[in-house]
Amino acid sequence: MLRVKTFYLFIFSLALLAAFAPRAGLDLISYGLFCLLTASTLVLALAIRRSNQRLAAGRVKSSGQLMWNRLARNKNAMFGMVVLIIFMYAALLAPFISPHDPLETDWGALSQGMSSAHWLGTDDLGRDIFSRTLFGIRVALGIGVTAVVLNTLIGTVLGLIAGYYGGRTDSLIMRALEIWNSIPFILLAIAIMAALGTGVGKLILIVSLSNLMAFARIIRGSVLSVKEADYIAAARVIGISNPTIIVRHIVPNCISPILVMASLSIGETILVIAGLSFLGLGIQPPMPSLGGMLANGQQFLHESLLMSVVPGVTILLIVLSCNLFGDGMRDALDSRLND
Amino acid sequence: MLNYTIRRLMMLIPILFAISVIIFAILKLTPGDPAMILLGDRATEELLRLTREKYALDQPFIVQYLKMMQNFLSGELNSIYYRDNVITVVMSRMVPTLELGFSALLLAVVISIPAGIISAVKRNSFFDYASMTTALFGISIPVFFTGILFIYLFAVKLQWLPASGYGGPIYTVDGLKHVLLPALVLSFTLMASTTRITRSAMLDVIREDYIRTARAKGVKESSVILVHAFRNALMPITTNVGNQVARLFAGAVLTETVFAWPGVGRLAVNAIFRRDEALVFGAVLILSVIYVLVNLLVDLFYGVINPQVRYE
Repeated sequence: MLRVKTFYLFIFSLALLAAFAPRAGLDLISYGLFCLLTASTLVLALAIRRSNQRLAAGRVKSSGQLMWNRLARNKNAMFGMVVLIIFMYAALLAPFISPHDPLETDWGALSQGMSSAHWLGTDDLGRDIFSRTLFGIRVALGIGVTAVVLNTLIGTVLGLIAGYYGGRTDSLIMRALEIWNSIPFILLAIAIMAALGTGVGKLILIVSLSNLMAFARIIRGSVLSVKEADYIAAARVIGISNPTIIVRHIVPNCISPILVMASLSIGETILVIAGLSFLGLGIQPPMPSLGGMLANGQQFLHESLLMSVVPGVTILLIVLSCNLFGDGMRDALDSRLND
Repeated sequence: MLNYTIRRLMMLIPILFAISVIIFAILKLTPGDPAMILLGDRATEELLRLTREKYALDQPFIVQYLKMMQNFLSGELNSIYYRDNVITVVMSRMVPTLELGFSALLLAVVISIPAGIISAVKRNSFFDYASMTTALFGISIPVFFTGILFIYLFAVKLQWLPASGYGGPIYTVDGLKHVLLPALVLSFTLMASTTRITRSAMLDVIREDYIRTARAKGVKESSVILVHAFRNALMPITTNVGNQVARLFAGAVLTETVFAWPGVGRLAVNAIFRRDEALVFGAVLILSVIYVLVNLLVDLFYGVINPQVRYE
């Protein structure tokens, strides 16, 4: 069933690839990334097919399959996943599917409602809201995912070191993180922006340093519970080095809390980025961002409600889907519910 | 309890010290001549020389830090925009921020805890379903979007409440009218997560044996829920409220911006645009201290409801 769906997704992506091939030169990086995405759907479809064959041959189900089965039964999580996939496609394909240039101003059509030329109306400078939203999604997802990946990596490494080495290293790392955590994130962001100015790179840096405590604490906890196991002692006795033990034997056992935390924090991160952009501290105009569009929309609330509602609902949908999917992941990976 | 309180207060000192060092160090990263930055466009050769001396700018980092703190605490650190000392400027905006924050906290607790309890007791009912759906939207919607929607609905269309601004102290009719919308918007996220936590904590507790015992003894159902179960569910709820205080701060900065609320958060953001480093330092430091104090209060309350904590 799942294999068929993934296979259709692959065919669909392939069709899109072919359709946009003549215009690939518009944005080669996006086109390349989309090729990669298409290839990965094929790989995924093949991998699922192989595991289904093994299943049919009477082999034991892997824990990944058990997890997936639980996740697939969760309607909310599936809804979130489908919406996220749609947004991902929209984000990658924005340069090819947007009907207008997001920066192109049309002085003959200021603050207009929905029409066939501008599907979701235009803003105060006559820019097409639908195209701007597409590019806004692209920026939000791109920066959000990058920041979460960095955040997860840094937090996980700190948690691993603290939990594995224990003693003085542990208390040093955890104290430092506690102090870092005792300054509210928004104030840190304000201080860093005041010192270094705004910009996409700084935005990613700030957001990726935001949630370290939560990651490190959870990873440290699961390392502590794994560390005392006999197989770790055995690995140490036969002389395997500490870094190898961490990477080969500890990390695989901590992977589910890491995945759950990461998927739950994507929504939160996208909210934070939108919030900073709303304040004028995040993505700078004229680059379209969902938060910036809302800040602009508030000023023209009397002329056009669409200017606020479209980016607002988009943020809501993205974050809602992330939260639904994250909740689903948490329920699916919760070992207490293992059947 | 007294011992515990004193111990917690002692732990405050290194944390406050470290926070001020971090904020100072971050602002030190600003490129350019620090004396020029502190003076803004008023800089003359003479003033620059005096400022370098006043802040010990030719000395090592630690001396500079101590000088900065000395100037800050004695009220000699001046904002270049307001031409007044930073503590006075920040404190003049503190009352609106605290009014907004506490009304939001109050609204959230008053609405979400009963909602969570009812959801848990009447599990899978229409009320449970409706409040959980609302809560899910509540944690997913950006505060500034709720703010804009509420302004459009209640101020532009229905014209029940003013769209923005500060109407005076909260106990006056005008002040209350002005605080209502921003407080409601700010409490939305907090409400959502508190309702979810209250529901799940109550569901966990209700399954316990001692609840069955209480029911078997013939204790009234309302007293089983509110006295026996709720007291134990209060612990995760308090932890969650504590964790949410940081979000409340972030939300407050955004809410103040949406509603043109004259609070410290908006002051700090505007200070960035005005290149007013001294004010950024003061506002961020004072807000961080308040954040730490609020967290301490939450921890102390946790100690009151959970005796185990005190004897650790």
